Amino acid sequence: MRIALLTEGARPPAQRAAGWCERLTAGLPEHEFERFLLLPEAEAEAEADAAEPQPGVRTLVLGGPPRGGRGPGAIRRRHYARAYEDLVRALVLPRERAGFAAGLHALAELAQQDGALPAFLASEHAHQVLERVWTAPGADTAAGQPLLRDVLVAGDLLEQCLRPLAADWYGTGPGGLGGADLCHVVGGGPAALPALVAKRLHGVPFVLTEHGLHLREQYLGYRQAPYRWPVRALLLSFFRLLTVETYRQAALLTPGSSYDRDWQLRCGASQERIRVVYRGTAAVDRPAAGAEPTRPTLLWTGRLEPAGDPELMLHAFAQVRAESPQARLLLRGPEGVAGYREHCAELARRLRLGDAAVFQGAAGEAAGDWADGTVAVFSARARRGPGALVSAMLSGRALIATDVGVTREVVGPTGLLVPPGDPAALGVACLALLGDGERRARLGLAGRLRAQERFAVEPVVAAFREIYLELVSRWPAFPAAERRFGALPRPFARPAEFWVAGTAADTMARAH
Amino acid sequence: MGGGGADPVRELLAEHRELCERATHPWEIAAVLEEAGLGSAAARRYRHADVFSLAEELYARVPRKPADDEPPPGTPTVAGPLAPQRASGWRHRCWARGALLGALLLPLVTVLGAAAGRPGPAAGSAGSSGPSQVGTAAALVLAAWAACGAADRAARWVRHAGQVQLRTVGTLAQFRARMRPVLPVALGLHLAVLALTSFTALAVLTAIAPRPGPAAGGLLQAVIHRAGPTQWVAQASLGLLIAVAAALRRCGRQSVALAGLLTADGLGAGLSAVRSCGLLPAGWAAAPGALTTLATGTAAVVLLPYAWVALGRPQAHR
Repeated sequence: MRIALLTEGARPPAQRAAGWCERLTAGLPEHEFERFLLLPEAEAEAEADAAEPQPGVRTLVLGGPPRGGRGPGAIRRRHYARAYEDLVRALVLPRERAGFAAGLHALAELAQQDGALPAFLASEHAHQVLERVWTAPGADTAAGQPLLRDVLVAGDLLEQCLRPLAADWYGTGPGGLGGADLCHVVGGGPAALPALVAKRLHGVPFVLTEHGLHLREQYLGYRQAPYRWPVRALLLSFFRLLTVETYRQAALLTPGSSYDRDWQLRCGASQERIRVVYRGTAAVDRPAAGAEPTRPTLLWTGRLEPAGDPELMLHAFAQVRAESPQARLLLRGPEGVAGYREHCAELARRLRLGDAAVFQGAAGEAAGDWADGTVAVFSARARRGPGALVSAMLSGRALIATDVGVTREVVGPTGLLVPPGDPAALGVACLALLGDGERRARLGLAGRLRAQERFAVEPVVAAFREIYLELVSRWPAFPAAERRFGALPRPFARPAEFWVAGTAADTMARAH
Repeated sequence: MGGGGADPVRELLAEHRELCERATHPWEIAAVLEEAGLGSAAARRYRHADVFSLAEELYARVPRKPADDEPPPGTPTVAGPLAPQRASGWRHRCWARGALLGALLLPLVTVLGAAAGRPGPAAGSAGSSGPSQVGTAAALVLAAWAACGAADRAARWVRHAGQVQLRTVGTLAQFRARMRPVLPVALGLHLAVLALTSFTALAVLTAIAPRPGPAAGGLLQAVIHRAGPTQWVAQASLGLLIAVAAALRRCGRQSVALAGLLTADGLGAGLSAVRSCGLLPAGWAAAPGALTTLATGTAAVVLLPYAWVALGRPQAHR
């Protein structure tokens, strides 16, 4: 089976499936994988430095200025402008949301014919269209009218997002998406655009894997972006509509956790097309951490920032220390917000923790890093990915975590869960585990076994082996052979003999 | 249960008011609430099934407010993804310097060419002596060179005006309307400075080497008559060309500016070569400044409309 793996190069770390795709392709040698990578600008330069391109990998740069190219002629420009206007209307006019897919595919079709889409989107004509629609009555500009600079910035950002539409990936030959049996999108967002177009053009089904939802990352990431409200609203509206359309068109969604599945359901995915596949990690084989330290130690890891809530940990530890004076707290991790480490140290002084609370540098991933602690504690207010929890569970240490995000399903019954923002509950849980060695050992072992079972690579590979076969079995064998534009091919539309016999002309030729 | 009173959401609303005012969609509020540790379990305290419906209530109850969320100046709005590359290579800079120098020397070259090519008749028809013409041309070259700084100042002012308009203006049409007088004003300023430097240079020249014969009128008249009308026109067109090229260079059209200057250089050199072969009519071509006017004027006539259109576009000022 030929499978096209579509990924985006570098997003925030939660989004980045580092090595995940490689493990999948290594686990399924019976299939032929082709990688299609969308790269941000910085990585593209690194790629260019790395000399010869890898075989079987096709890349497209998503950031930076558009790479030259001629704009469309006067007549084609009018077609482009009409399609772009449909798309923008869907983005800014709440009544016309339904036109998003039509506008997107119209643009894709035009871009397939002459590849002038990036040049058009960077041109003044596109900016005029954007401005006209954006300032039209009925546009959603509740918290601020767009200014000229907003039009320019939003136009550029849209151009970058829509660049995959003009990629030369949609041929039916080898190395083209039309020739693939299946697309596998890892990450969502713009990476799903080629899959949407390939499904529309060639009827190639696609499966979408998301580790950390793209849309949610955008909502959180754009809050720090230095754009004015109208730009944020337009771009987030684009990502939202794209996500909804992707979820609607995907043959199957495989979120990395049930927590993400709830979001996907909310975004319009249907229950029966979602299958949770936990993200496998190669670390399951590493040995457990050795003997516990002699002095009872609570080990807190994570970035020192308000979202990680080390303050909650310090307050809880003050309570622990009142009961058990020889206990120690290790706070390990880099500083996420400048000056926050000093703030936490000040809090520790105020709580009279003395030298029992120790701040250390960056956290590692190896099992030895957990050996310093008797109990691993996570006090974060939010947890979108399972990474740190799984690492702690694999070390075989008992675990206490706040009940947020994915924690409940990852830890399950193998650790203690406390409500977020409740130092008393956390303190009681810490005391309970520090005082009971037998329970610690039992929970630690159970956690290690649970993590090894759920987060190994083999279940992922097995799940996708089945998913690929299942999807392809529901799709016709040669979708490209009898495709009509816009209509999805149906399986078993022809009996097997039809394909064995070949086309009518071949049969006639052979008969003579 | 938490919240207390008839409206448990009110406290939450007060706590997250800024978020709700700036949100673009209920899902954004949901994402941030979850990030703040408010999961579905906590949403039940507010009588909602999950955090999404809680976010929807918050989104519906707080009106969007036009926030003064001005981004820090100069960050992504001005230096957008399409910002032209400002740092050009040294090779490009050398070319630009050379082309500018060539354009500046045009008056001198054409006069020298005339003096060398056909000394007798040319000088006679122009009605003035060779060395005096060369001196005048040299003074004009010096004046144009001194005014180059003003051209760059004017160009920088054009760019600055464009960026200020870009930050504040509402629509494309408004931007164009406001940018319309900017280029003419900049060119006018440069021409004024050029007139001043030319006048000064010629005055100095007149003081050092006064023209032989009776001095008619005062110093003012003597200085103005020192250069013929064609030479003044040539100086003006050279000034226009240099100012337009500077403005284009400052606004990211370096290659067009360079091409304009090189065109003027090439035309000037070519015309004076043609003249020295005797292919041009003796009357007007031998007049000092005529060939310079022709060369720089042609380049300026081509560049001016282009610059007018290009600098009226917002892309040029990012």
